[in-house]
Amino acid sequence: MNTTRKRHTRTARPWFLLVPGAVALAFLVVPLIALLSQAPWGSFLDILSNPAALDALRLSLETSLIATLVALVFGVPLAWLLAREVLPGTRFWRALVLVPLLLPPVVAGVTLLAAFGRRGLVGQWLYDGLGVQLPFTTVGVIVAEAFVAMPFLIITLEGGFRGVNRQYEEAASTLGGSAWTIFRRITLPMVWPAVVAGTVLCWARALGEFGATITFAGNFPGVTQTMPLAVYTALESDRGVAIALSIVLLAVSITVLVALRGRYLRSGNSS
Amino acid sequence: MSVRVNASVMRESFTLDVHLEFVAGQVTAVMGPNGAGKSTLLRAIAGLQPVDTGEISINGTVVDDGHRVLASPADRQVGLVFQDYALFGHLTVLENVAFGPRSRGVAKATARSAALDLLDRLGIADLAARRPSAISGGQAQRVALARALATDPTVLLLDEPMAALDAEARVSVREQLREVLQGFAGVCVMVSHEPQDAASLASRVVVIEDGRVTQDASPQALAASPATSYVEALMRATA
Repeated sequence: MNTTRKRHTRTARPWFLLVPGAVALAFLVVPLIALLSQAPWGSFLDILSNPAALDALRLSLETSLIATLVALVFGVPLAWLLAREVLPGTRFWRALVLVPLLLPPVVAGVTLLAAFGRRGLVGQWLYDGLGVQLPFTTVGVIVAEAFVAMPFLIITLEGGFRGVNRQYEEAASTLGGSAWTIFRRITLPMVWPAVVAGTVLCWARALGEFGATITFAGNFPGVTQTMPLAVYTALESDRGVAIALSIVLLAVSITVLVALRGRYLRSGNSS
Repeated sequence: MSVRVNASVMRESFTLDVHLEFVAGQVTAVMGPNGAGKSTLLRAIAGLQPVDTGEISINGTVVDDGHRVLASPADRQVGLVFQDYALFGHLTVLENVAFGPRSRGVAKATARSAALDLLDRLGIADLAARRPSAISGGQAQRVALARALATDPTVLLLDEPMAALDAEARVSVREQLREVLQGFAGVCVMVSHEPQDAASLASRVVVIEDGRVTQDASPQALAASPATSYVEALMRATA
């Protein structure tokens, strides 16, 4: 009996997993602790009530929320189309949708310039025809954030839609439900955890967007300088300000994590 | 009122090819081995499975002709009880039953009170506020039946209505189902693999084997002179 118990304990905590695992944990946690320990707590509120910081915070919240809304309006339908394999060549389109997810954000910014720049494929038409300029504007920030963040929403929701047992939709259709009624009252509630998880992931990604934004929209305080850009800019002049702004973004991340409590994030692919 | 099926449906493992007419006031049990095409027949009538050739008509109106006409399930006045009930888990029992009338434009309060009446008729009004996850299999079967009846269908389709129940629940559900079906004026087609269910609920049995009708008779005639070895084995198993 004693030997089996000993052997059980040994396999439950093998050193070759325990040691590198602990290193990984420390590696992830130490920077967070360091950030908090170096924060200028005394002047924290002064830094944050600085008009430049408030502008960046306001701009970040506005653009990331609008980008998320845009992603929802267009991404939910696309996720559905991909899940139901309505489009010919679904596998190909699904792979393409994932590209912005894996693309280095700076490259994403360059592709956006190629498409929506003043001499871009779509951009020249927008500029010459409608007088609309996207690069280096607040709308450009939203475009950059939506481009980079929407794939998070789409892949999360696509998994959700795939997991829906079609029989419920069939039942609803025999009961007289129109396509819209079925989608709104049956399908969408059934994938609700995926909607929540996808929306939050998308919003968090949009809020943290840096590379595509600075490339496509530039770094103009009050117009395109979002929080991550403000952190980067502050780092060159005042480390304390950079750390204070970083802590605000960290607080947002942790709040999201706690609010979801792992529940929605986990069920996103299985429900 | 009648349902006429002269159609074939090609599936991977078989081709359903049948010529049948179902009339109002008569309960028909469709029996046959697994994968013979029983559920496919119900799905074709309900509009969930388009036919490949031939046509299906309900009350003289062609609802599917294999190429141009394909009426949606919503436009066929059918009620379908799924084998595993397919109750909507995010809605209460009452909302499940009220879903059909609500989808067809009935006002919320009216739909709900009608749904409650229906639940009351089936003796499960006390479950109205519960979620499907919080009721038993026999109760879920009654809710599924109530939901299908709530839209006042001309055609009631039951896919193995008692297959998911244990023996005890089966007896009481069967008794209640018989009462409901006796009072049902429309066409009723029920897929079953239990000769007992067929004998106690149906006045006509259609046997489908490998996509074709091999016997079409009363339960008594079926027992007296089975047309195929499958029917014979089925009857012997029950006797």
